[in-house]
Amino acid sequence: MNKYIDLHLKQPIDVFEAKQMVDLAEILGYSGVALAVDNNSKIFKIESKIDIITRLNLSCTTQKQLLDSLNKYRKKFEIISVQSLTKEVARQAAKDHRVDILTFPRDPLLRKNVWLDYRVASLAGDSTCSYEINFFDLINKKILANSVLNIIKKEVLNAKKRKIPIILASGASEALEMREPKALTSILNLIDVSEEEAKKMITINPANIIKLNRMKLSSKFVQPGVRRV
Amino acid sequence: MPVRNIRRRYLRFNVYSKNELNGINVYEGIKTSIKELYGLKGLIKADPKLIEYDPLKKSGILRCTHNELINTRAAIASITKIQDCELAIHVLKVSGTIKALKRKTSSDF
Repeated sequence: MNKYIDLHLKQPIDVFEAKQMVDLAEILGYSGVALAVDNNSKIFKIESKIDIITRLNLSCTTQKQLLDSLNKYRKKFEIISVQSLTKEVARQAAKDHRVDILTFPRDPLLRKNVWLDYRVASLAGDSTCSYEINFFDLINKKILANSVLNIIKKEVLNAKKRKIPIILASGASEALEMREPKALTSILNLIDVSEEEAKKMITINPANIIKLNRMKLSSKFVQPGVRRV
Repeated sequence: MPVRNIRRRYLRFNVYSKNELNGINVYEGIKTSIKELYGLKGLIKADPKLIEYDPLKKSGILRCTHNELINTRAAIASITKIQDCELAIHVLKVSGTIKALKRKTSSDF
């Protein structure tokens, strides 16, 4: 049986709402969800049968800001994602081994300048970071959907060329924005991604990141390939 | 053995919303969404039909063609609002016959 993981649920301010989202994720068939915060606020401790992963979303405009934040928070969160607002940050994030996930702005005007172009993709290909597609970027009707879809399609092609793992997540900030795993995979049909590939993006790829990062954060870890026995 | 020309799929869905919606609104919302994403041709190909909808349980069964199942699912997933009512539609089960679908989901309803 497939273990579906939603690596991007934005943690609401209210703990009850967060609990509601986690419970809904369980009903929808997820075996793990990542609760994401934008700053160094605490992740709520929620009792649930499913795995809850801690995630920090960094949104930086300068290289220095990114490096400082990475130094500060890397060991506090299981997953660190960087939303690049400038090309400079995108390139730094792509080559930094401490960054797990690369995301890009929702706004199509910003995204025309900062996206997963071939330079960023080649840097990310040599690193360990993954590229994330948020479901709500694909269906957001407030913005020009077709222009964002075109950019995401190009980004997926670049990621595939450089063998960058792609992650599919909901990016939901409330329960009404959450969808079942198969709904997420079927929407990728819009950008010519097959169902099997999409399935991998929501099962194997996120599981690999979690496994690697938990190993790194454990006390037995010394350096890649070396651990205390 | 005779074979049906058109293979169908039946989807059991749940509507999560703050306000109440009737079956016609939900059906129109789904049709509009398919048309928005795949155009009139896509809508004709998918041939959606609301088999039943219970406004109290906020649950229903939708029929579509077998080949257009993924597109129909995508269109249903992309619905965020129907008539100023924010909502999410979750597909719980898919089956080839209504009888099997009702049997599979009988534990939930």
